[in-house]
Amino acid sequence: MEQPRSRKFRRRPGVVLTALLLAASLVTGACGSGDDASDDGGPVTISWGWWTNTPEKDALYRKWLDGFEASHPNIKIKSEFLPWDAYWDKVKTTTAGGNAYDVVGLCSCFAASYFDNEVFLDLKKFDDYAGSIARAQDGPVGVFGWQGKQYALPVGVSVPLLGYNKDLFKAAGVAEPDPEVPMSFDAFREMAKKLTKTSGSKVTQYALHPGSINFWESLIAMHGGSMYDNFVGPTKVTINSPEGVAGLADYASLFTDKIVPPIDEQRENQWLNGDLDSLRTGKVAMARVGPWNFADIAASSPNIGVAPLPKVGNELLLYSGANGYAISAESEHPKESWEFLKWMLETDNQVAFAKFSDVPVDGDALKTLPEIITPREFAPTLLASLPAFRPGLLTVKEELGKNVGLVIDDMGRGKLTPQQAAEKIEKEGNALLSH
Amino acid sequence: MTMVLKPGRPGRPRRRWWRREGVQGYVYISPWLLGFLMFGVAPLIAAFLTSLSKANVFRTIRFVGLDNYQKILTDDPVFATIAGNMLIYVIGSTIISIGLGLALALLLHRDFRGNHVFRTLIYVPSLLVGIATAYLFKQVFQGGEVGLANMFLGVFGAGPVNWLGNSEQPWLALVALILVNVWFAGGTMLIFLAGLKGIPPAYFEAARVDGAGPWQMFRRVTLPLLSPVIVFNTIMALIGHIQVFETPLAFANNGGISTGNPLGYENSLGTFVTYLYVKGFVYQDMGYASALAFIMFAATLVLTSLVLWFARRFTAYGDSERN
Repeated sequence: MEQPRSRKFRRRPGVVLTALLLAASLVTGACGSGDDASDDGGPVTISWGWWTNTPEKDALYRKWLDGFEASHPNIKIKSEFLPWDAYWDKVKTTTAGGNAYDVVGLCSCFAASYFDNEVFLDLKKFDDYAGSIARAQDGPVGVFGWQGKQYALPVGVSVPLLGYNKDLFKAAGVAEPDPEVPMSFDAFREMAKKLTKTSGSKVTQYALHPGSINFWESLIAMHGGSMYDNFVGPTKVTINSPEGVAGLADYASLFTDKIVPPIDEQRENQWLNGDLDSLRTGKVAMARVGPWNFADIAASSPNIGVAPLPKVGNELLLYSGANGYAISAESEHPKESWEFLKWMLETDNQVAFAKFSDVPVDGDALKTLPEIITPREFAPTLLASLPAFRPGLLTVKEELGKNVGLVIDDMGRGKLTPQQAAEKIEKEGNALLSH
Repeated sequence: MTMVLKPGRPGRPRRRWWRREGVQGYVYISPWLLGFLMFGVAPLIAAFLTSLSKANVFRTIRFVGLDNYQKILTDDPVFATIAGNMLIYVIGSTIISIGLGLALALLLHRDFRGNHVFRTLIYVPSLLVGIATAYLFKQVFQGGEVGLANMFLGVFGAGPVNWLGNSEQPWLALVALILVNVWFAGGTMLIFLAGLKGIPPAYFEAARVDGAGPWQMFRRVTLPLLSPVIVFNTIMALIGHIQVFETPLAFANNGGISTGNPLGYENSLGTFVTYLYVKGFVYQDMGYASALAFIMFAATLVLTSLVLWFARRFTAYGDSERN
């Protein structure tokens, strides 16, 4: 006779035990730790993150990290390069989850909310902090300071330059720009008009990559105005002034003169590629490049030259960002991570870094720039543009920069005049900042 | 010392507590139950508490009561635009999912050579991952003459249409978003096919004997007997469409000089989930995003209840027939 089902179960303590073990493993698994720390005196592995540029540049970056491992046998670096968007998604979510990289690569453009929420270590608490930054330039170091604390240290500065396709200049019969002296914005505009080509009613070549020259902030500043009362932690938007409107009008002229593609056509592939890639398509004559592209240009694009971005008045001003590193507040290896930050600021390592990436922040390394940059002929342009560097917007109100961009887009579409755009940016921006 | 033995309850043998059937049942399901409590209920409670706070992705700043809900429902023009988008999108997409799915199922229910191949070909695309499909259709709706949709229009001498980056007619992007659902009609088709297989052929034979034509057979036999499946598919489609995320986000990246509005030009591509994502992960307002999630849940519940209430009048279940 078949036993009732309930009795069958009752005689199977193994089943009950298995169920209990499964439940227990679920709980312990959820509370588990991925700690890979070594307590036996062996090497400690620190995790390290950065965004990818190109495989070639990533390989050079990794080689630079190998230099750190060679000089610190007890510390290994587990590096990860991710695409720009994916990198920031990962940094944000892992930081919130308490398992961020030990050493977090940072762009000053996104740093404010991390600083404001104190998710990184205050580096000033390390005993040898002052000595470690002694040779670093104050400006880039200051970009990573927040309310009296220092949450990151800069590794390099992003100085934007005007890259151009020499073949397209030659084909248009336009002389290449001076590598050191910035041309005036008016001269630039006249030159650019000759580089936009049409076939019937269709534009087949644009003078400028649309996503590359978003320097309305610089134009406004060069006219004598300012977007914000302070670019680091602004409390007020101050664009609605005659100087601000003049800067916006200059920017809008890029669209009315067909120097850049119309906003609504920018999703087409040849206009959407990255700055350097767009130059390589042969359909865009000029685009923003920088030292971060130099290694790639030297390796495979000898037809690309560089010049300073255009200026208004007597002074060139370039609002841009700095890149650096922070140490996660949850890091289990803060001392080893700090060793890396100190190492990256040493002159020799800054020189090695500058060879494939940004402008070094170490004063002594900076002096060697003309000798170490590849292609060598780009050095004068970079050195001429470097004094124009100003730190870009640093705010916890992430909607601010995005909203400004959307209004500027509408101005580019011709839906708003520069005056209307200035009014709208100021009104909406101040409403956002006052919350 | 005298030991007093307590008598057990008369007529009921005394069992150790862990041997009781109820306790053992809970032990058997405890792995799932713990998982559900830890990864289902606990985050739900946490999300609700977050919705009552001002919080970013890193920490909770302060308790604000129902402020987030009040702002969303009374003082958020973006949410109002998005609610309108959702109404159009959910209705349009559900019509495509159900209408096209049913039409395909009726066609492929017929006995003809190779219909299994067609079933597979139509069903397989619906298995593709959402983000892959989103980027595929971003190419399909590419502006100029390179997009497949514009090539198709070109055959008829129409277009090209700037589907996704059109600031003059931003509603075109929403139309494109709705049309993407044609790709997924295979999913509902398969369930309809299963439903059609479940209708006994005798009903059709009887209808044919009584002189019913194809339309009458569809209207008087197929549709009533398929009504439970239609209700199921409708509810599943509604819930799926309310949760649409990857495609509008991929479509909205307009590549402009700004980093683009993730909700599309003038929020024309904004959906509940993309707005939630933007508020929570881009602008770091987690409290507001959590409140949006609960409002979205309420909207789904109301819509589902409405469909069930409406369907009750027209749905023929086997049980009611027996009664």
